[in-house]
Amino acid sequence: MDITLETIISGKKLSNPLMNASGILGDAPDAIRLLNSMGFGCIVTKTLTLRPREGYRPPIIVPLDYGLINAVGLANPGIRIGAELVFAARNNGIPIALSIGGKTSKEFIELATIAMEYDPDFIELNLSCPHTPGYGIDAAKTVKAIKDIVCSVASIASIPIWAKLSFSRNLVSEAEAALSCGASTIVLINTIPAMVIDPYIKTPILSHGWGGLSGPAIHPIAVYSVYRVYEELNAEIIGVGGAETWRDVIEFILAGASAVQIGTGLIRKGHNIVREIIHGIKSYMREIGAKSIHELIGIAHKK
Amino acid sequence: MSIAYRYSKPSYFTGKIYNINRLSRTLYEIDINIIQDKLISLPPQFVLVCVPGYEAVPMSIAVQEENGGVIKLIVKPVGETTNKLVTLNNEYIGIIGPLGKPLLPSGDKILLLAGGSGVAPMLRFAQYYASLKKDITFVFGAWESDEIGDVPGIIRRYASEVITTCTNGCDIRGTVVDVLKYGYVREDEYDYVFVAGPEIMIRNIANYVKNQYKTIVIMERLVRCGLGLCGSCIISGTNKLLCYDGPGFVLSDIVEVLRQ
Repeated sequence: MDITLETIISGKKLSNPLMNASGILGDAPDAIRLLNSMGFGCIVTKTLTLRPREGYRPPIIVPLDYGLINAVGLANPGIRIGAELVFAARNNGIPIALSIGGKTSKEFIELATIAMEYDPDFIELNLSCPHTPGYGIDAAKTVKAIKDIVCSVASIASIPIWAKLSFSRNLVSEAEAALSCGASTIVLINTIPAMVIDPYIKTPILSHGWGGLSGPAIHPIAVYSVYRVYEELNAEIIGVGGAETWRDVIEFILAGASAVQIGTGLIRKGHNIVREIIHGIKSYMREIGAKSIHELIGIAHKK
Repeated sequence: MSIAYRYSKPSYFTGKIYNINRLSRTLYEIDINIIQDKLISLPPQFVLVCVPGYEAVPMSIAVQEENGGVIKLIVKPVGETTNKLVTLNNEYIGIIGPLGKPLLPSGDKILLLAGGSGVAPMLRFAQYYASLKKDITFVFGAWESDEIGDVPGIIRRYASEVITTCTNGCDIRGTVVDVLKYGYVREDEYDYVFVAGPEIMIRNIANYVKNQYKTIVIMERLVRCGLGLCGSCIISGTNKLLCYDGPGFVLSDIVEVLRQ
């Protein structure tokens, strides 16, 4: 029996449902080649802003037993690097999503206009970075702000738009707003605001003070978020948050995700994680008699 | 003989500095207690030292004592953060590590070539191979003899033979690569050659050594996150990250980068 790991995102076929989470590598052609060598079905760039950003001073990441806390500060070489990143992905025959982050809907329109010149397969809107004032959760503070940004970008975009959100009490209405404006896909969830303090030095460890928590600590929250949005809106979803094993990935898919992003797992488990997870998913599918990812999406929902 | 090949997962530790000693005009040794914990590493793993109010800077672990309860750094103050670090006796600092991968080929005769602050990772290799009773030759070079200072005293704890090089007043007048070039030591008498120091020295040695497969070089790049997330330490022209794949590389794997 032949099994396939192909999945469809925004109408495009991916060879497997795994992609890197934005922010993990992905801001230089060498890094795109490195990500491609890991076996992903799609690559997501680091969030690109209109102008280059240096980001915060190190320490920008604290490793914890249960995940990572990071405050990189959206360091990136600026949207113009997008041309080289898309070119590198094309040369390697792998689909690519350009992640963009602006402070206002006007900036998002400007970014999307430039991004479209480079013709990526998808554009991911960063509406949820928790640690860079003015961007992410600051720019997309309310349902109205999310609507404003996504509707503005969708009105000019000829490329499928993903809206990346974080967990919030308004999650379903935020996702609904993004979809109603024309986002094809919801990416759930970004990191969760968090802080660690050194008991002897008596100050926060990150240079920025607070950052975003990722990894196993947030995985069940991410699965819940995917489940809720799928249940309420029947949306196309990409799950992200603490996926480190094939079980974590399958959980996302059963909850309703059509693809899954991996970030912290690359750091905690190493670059072979993608191949290990793909191997595990295949064994699982063989065991339960599933032939495609498609038939597994969302089946955890009681009908 | 089997050895425990074990090291900690990358974590955050609080350290307390209990000794700072100026070894030479340019180098300081800093001894740190890892508070209520152990930071177990293998060479050439490194740490990010978080200086409160300043930056986190990458540093080689030069010596590990008490199974990771104590670490020694050899620091060359070059910027604001490292200049502050060498004044912090009896103060607390943050330490993230161990970072990078161990790279420990087996051999009976080991040649360590260190230039300047490259002495730090070479010391850790010396300590490691000395614990396995291997035969170690350690070459330590700098421009001036006052940059050599008391460093050989620490090297002699681990290496059977120590050779210093500088422009005047050392065992050999010249550079580290001259030691090979003029036959003071012969590369082919050693099972492995390890090199750390300024990139120009590494390039010179890369151009000179005959066996790329038995030469290990310790690279330096701008390390920001230290964990393979931010990509700032990518060795351009390769798909290797210094903090994930390195900082030690078999010369044959990166010789193209060094000979560009």
